[in-house]
Amino acid sequence: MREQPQGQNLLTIARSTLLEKVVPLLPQDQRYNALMVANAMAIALRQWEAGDTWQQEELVRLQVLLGVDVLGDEVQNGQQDLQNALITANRALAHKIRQGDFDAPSQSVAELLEWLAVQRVRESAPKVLQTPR
Amino acid sequence: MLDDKAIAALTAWLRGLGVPVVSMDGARKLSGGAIQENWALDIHLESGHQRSETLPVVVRADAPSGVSESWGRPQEFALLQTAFKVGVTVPEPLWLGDVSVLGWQFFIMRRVQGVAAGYRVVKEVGLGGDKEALVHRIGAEMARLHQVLPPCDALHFLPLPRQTPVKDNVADWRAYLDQHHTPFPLLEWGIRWLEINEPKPLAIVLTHRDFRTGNYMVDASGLTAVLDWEFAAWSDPREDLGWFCARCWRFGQNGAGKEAGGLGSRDALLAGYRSVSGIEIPVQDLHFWEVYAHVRWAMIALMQGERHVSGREPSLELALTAHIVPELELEILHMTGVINAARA
Repeated sequence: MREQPQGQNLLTIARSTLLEKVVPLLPQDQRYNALMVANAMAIALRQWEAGDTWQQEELVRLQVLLGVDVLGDEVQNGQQDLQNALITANRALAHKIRQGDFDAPSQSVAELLEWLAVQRVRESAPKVLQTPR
Repeated sequence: MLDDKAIAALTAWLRGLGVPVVSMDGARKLSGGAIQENWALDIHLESGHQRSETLPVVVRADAPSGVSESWGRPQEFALLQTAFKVGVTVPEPLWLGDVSVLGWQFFIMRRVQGVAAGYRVVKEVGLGGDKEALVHRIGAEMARLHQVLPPCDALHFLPLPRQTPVKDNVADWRAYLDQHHTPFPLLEWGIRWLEINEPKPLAIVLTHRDFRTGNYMVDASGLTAVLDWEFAAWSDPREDLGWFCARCWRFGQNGAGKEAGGLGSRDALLAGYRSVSGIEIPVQDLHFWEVYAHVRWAMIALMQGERHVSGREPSLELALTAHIVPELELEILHMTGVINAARA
């Protein structure tokens, strides 16, 4: 068996060590690089924690909205296949948007667009979701 | 790299131009600039009667990599000269170099004191003087720049829009997305919204196109210099006004009355603009251009991220820039009414 602690735990402790013990010792002009490293580690952690769950839901939601089985017969479960199916489904959505099918979006289309954005923000910049508008 | 050898080459070159250089010292690299490197330098000039005067300058040179969308140093020098001549507060452009002097393109401009860091400019009381007055002044600066109209011999390298600036960008962004490995339906939404909501265009003018907090310098008295001219183009004047007000450039200052650059009100910006141009731009006209700013910044962020993702230019900064795209998409959905519709 793989040795503990594993990736998520290691990344978490590495990031807190960087922020608490390394950054304070750095000259001001080097802190920016260290904070970027911490930010990249945080994004990677959130992606790791989320796994494929929301992307699988994304595929289902897109299939429902678009009314097609974009997975196709040949696609099996698996990370690469999921990504390919998501590319196909999102391209179909993008195409419909571009040709004006959703110019006056129904509530279900609007909900899907918001949901997609929120999932992506939750991994890349979750603080935005806590900022009052 | 401005080492002793480079300083000797610069000294010889300037003397060859008739500049009475006695010596140079104080070379140090200034922070910022993924596209350029900026070096502070003090040039000591002979001023007669065995006295010398010191000319503080910045040597602005190509960095090892650049964004293909941005102009090179000779073009940026011409833009600075043009802006300087119409009274925009820019560092005075002094001499344009060529590759034979230092091995890379560069120009020399007068060094201006001030703080550019956006998070400081918006937060520190007193920095930039009265913030509402600073915003008014920035509106006036934009109006001065927008007095430059095509055709303009010095700016012959700037292409005229093929259709309108909005239609051109919509076409270019779609072409980029079509060849990209990943679809971006939320950006497509923003682009489509711009396409169907494009207002009647105004006559095109010279625009800065990156005129935002973080790209100008201030001291305690107010504005000292407008920087970073490498994205300038002929465009609709409202593009600069909208870019300045866009929420993504407010450095977290999202309270009422801080819409213009995180500093002050849109009304102050437009009043400053009107004070020089005489042109009344209704405040509601800015909404379209603020959406446009978010779409454009998202597309730039995507392109910058791709420089890393493609493996052409591994860079943590570029990698993280890609992760700005989702929050811009969310803001576009807010601004275009999608999120209200979703919650109706």
